[in-house]
Amino acid sequence: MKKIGLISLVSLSLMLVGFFIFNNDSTSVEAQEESTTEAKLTQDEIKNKMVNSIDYFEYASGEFTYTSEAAGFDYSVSYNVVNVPGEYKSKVTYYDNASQCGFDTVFDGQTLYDVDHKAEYYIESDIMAANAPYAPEEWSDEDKAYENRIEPAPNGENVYYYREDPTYMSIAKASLFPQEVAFGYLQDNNMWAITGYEEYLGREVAVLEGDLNEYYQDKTQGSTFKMWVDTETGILLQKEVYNESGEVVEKLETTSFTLNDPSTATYDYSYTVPSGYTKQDAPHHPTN
Amino acid sequence: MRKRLIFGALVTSLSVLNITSYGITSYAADDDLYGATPNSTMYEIDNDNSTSDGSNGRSGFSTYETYSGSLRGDHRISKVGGEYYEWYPNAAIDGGNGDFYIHLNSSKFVNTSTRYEYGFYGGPYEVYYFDQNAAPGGYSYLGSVNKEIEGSTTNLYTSVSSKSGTTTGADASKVFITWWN
Repeated sequence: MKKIGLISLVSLSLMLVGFFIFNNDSTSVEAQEESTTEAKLTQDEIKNKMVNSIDYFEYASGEFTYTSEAAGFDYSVSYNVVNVPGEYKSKVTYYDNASQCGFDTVFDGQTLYDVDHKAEYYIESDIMAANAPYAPEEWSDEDKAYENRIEPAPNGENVYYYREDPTYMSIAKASLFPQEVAFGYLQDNNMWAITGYEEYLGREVAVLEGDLNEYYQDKTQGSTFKMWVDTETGILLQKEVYNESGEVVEKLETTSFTLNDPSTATYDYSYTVPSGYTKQDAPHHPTN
Repeated sequence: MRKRLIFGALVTSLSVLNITSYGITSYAADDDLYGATPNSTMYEIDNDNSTSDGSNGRSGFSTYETYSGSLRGDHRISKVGGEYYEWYPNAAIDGGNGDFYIHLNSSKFVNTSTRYEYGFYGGPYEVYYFDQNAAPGGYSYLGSVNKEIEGSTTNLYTSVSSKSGTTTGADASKVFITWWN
C-alpha cells in the first residue's frame, strides 16, 4: 500500500508540474491541443503542400466567393481546370459584386484569353505558339521545398520563389494554388498553429489559426486568421480574417468543389470574345 | 529547351545576390550547348526608372505615389481596366535566358489576379497571375524564359495589366539575364 501511495504522490506531483508549465506558456498549450487533435500533418508539411498543390491534383472544378472589406472586392468565382501535362486547360469566370465588373480567363490549351467585360477589352496570347515547344519549368524536389523558396535580400526584405501555373487559372489560384497566402500568412510557424481537422465539402481539411503580422494587419485591417486547407492537396478551401472585434473582414469560401473527376476535361474550354471589345496590344516596344 | 533546367531556382536566386561568383559559374555547364562563353547581368528597373538599368512604358497607370516601402520610395497604381505598365531592361541579346522578378510592398496593391507578362519581344514569353492582395512584400520570382540563338538581338520586358474594379500596383521589376558570346 505504501508503494502504491508513493507512486500516486509522484504521479500527482508530475501532473501539477505539467499543469503549471502549460498554463505559463501559451505556445505549449497550443502544442498540447494540436497533439490531442491527432496531428496528421506538421506545419511544414502543410506549407509544402500549399506551395506545390498543383502536384497533387489533375482536375478541379468548383465555385468560391472571395470578399475583402479593406480591398473592396466581392468576387463570385467559378472554375474548371485541367492540370494534366500536355492537356493543360482552364476556364475561370468571375464577377465582382462590389464594382459590378465581370471577367473571363480562358486557356483552351493553345490560346489564353483575358477578358474584362467592364472595360470591354481583352488580351489574347497564343501561349503555345510563342513558347513552342512548351513545357512548364521543372523544379527539383529540393527547390520545391518551402524553406528553400524564401531567401533574405540585402535590403532586409525577402525574395519569394513562385512556381508557374501551367493552367493559367487566374483568380482560381487563390484557392487551388495558394502560394501567396502560404508565403505571406504562414511564414513564421510561431504565429499560427494547426488546431484541428474537419470535413469540408467531403474533403478532409486541416484547420489553421494564427495572428497576422503588421503588413497584413495594415493590408486587411484584421488581426487574426483561420484557414481550412485540404490535407491531400494543399488547396485552400476557406480563409477568414478577423478584426479585433472578431468580425470577418476578409473571406474566401468554397461553395462547391469536385476534385480529380476526369469528366472535367470534357468541359467546353473554347471561347469567343464578345464583338466590339478592344484588343490590348501589349507588350509595346521599348522607348529607349 | 525553352527553360533553363540545369540548376533550378535555388541557384538562380543566389546568382541574383552575387552575380560574379554564382551567375557565370552557374551557367558554365552550358558552354557545350552553345559553344560560347556565358555572361550574366542583373537589371533592376523601378517605376519611372532613372537609372541606366532600363526604362518604362505605360498606358494609363497615371497615379504616381510616394511610399517608403516601395522600391526607391515610389510606385504607380491603376484603378481601371485596360491599362498596362512595362519595365524594359537596357539589354538586347541574341539568345539567352531571363529570370524575372517583380517587387511590391504596398497595402494599396490589392488585385487578386494581377496579370504579369515577361519574356522576349515576339516570344518566347510567359504569363503569370499573381495575387497582389495576398502576397508578402518583397521581390517575387515569377519564372524563367529561355530564347535560342537566332542571329538577331531581341529586347526583354516585364509588363503588368490593370483590371476594372480593383487597384493594380506597379513598382519594380528585376531581370537576371544570361547570354552567350
